[in-house]
Amino acid sequence: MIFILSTLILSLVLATKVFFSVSGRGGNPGFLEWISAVVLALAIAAGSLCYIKRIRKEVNTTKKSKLFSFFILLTAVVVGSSFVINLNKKALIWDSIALYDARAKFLLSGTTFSQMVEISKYDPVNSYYYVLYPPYTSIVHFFWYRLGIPLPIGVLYSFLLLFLGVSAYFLTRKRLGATLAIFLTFITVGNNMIFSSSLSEYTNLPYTLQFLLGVWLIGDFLEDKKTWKFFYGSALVVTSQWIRFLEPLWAGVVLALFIAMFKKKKWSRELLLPAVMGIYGVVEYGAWQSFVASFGDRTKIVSFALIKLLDPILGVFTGSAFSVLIFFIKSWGIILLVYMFAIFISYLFKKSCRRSSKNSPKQTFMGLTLLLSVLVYYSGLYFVSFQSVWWDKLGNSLVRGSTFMIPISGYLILEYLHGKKN
Amino acid sequence: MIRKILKIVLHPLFLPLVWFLYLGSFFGGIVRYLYISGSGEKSGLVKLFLSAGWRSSYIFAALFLITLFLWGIAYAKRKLKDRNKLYFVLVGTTSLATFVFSNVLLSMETKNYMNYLYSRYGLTSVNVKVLDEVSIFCLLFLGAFILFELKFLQNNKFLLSLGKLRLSRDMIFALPFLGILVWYSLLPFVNYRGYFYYVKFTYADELENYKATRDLEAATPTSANVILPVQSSEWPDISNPPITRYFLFPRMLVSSSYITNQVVADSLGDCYFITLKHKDVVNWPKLDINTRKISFMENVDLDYSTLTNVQNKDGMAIYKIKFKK
Repeated sequence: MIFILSTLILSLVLATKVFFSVSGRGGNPGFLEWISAVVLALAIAAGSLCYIKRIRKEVNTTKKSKLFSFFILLTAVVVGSSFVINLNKKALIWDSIALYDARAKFLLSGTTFSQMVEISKYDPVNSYYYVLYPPYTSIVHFFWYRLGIPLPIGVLYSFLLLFLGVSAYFLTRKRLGATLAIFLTFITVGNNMIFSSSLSEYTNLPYTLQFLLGVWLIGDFLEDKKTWKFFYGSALVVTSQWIRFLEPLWAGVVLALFIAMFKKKKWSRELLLPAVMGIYGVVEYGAWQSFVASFGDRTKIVSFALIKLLDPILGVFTGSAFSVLIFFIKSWGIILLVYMFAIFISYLFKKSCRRSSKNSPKQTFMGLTLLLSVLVYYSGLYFVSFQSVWWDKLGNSLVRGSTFMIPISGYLILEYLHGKKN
Repeated sequence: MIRKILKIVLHPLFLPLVWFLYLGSFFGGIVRYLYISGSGEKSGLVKLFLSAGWRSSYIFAALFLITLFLWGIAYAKRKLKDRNKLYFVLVGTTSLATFVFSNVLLSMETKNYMNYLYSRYGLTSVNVKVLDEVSIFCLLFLGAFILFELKFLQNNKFLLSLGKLRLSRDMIFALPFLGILVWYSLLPFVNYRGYFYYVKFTYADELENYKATRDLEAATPTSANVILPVQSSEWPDISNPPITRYFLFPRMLVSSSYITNQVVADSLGDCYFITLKHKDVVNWPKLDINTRKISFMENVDLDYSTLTNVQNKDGMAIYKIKFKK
């Protein structure tokens, strides 16, 4: 199931990449854009081959308790409500009409991404707005309309919510058992932020689904060494830049993978895997960045010019870092405590496994991914606070974009409770 | 050093002390507001003291959560004294009251207007949300504590039926965190009315001057240039070209901030605009038919050659304008 779902998602990413490579620059495809599409196609092919070679029918032996049906019902109510609301909605959400669905509309009229700068030539404030954000969501909207699907675009996001639930269940059923897996599924799809993002037609939910699936497959790979999971997991994590570009969370995952694989402070050939993933990440970064550099504004949300870095460095000593930290904690609220606790749990796993001389690379990797993601979000906000007056508006956006951390935290806590014995 | 700190934190009175300090600093916000907004002479020292107390509420909230967590670990390790348990129940019970109280305040903010709480009581919604979340966390700890004390969780047949889940006492501090996730996943059920509001929600509800945008769409050709006000909060949405373009595409939108002088205006060719008004008075653009001058942006007066009224509807007029003579 997970293989089918991830193949579907990656194929969609590939389709959007091919579409963009062919038409994004109006008939002059960029070199890195093609490279990125080819690398993705190779990753899908390699992953599929590895999967087919080791294909084995898994027999579901997990017992289901009475609570299983209860949580299934709750999950069905949540997902069903999302479908009902999206089918009957009369208006798209603000960000969608300003950008994501708007670009799909332009594409339908034959306008290419490179020509979108021309559309706003009489608007000095937003002249590069349409080419600053990755195109994935808009191209998927465009496909939806071009295929003539007779349902509102919001329904796509209800399907994504359903896929997120299916992923949470099938990724954890083996470890947690059917009942706890469906419980985790419920706390994932029912989470108010995730549920709300299924009613908002823009990047948050596609990003959450793709990034979560990628992180989980890499975590599973560390445990069962199934190669297809590495290929698919890295492709999903790295190409998540194609959906959201602002926070380099993929780099955090590469670092987490490196640390989780770094055993006994010794060199091993396995360490080449995070290196390969890192290089792929840089290619993917370059693919979109080169397009933005060609057609968009060269000014970035966070500039890393030396002079611009001086303020944040001094800010550590003048208390700015602390005041941003307070703001960060306030805007994330109590969910940040849950994430911190999940990180603590992964540390406990490592400690208890070290005592019993076992290994827990998956938990370590997931805990590190959470930790590094929080650090990326915080440092991003900190740097932006010196360069933009609207930095405090970013707080809630970061919370909405970080929902992939909810199922990971839930999983780590449940596994901790599940694994402990009296 | 760490042992000394732990000894202080695990003192039976420490948790209630921090809790009531937190509540004191929270409610101190109301006192501060009443003092500052009241009549009569204000003492700078009192103002400083009240403000410092109010601002320290976040520090007390953090300290309370850390203390609670450490008490949870001590309980798991069977190192929590009976007196601590008694005081913890006291704190937990009051957190039920603060939870209800904070939710009442939050619903007042939702029902009235943004910053209602601040304008009436000097409390920000963030303040209240923090109190709400701290109370939930404390209540969840209390719930887990009661379940363990009543020996409900140990070897419970029902829990065992969930698979290999066996809860032992040393997991008590993990349950509230799981509880928070469960709480968040129950919110769509609690706020279902708010979510179904999405169904009724139309562009007219979402966007100010949506009607003007639709009128422009109906009255102008698809090849037209349409002039919009300078992007600002004075004309939200319609002055925002990316938003308005969604409805007017393929028309070219011209932000007034682009037309900085007569030369730029002359280069535009024929353009259209709709007059916008606040409280029945047309505020944009400033038009003087006698002198044939128009101003789309402050301090930029432009001459035009012809101005044709295309449509007049509900007091808003759409004009076609030609600048170059």
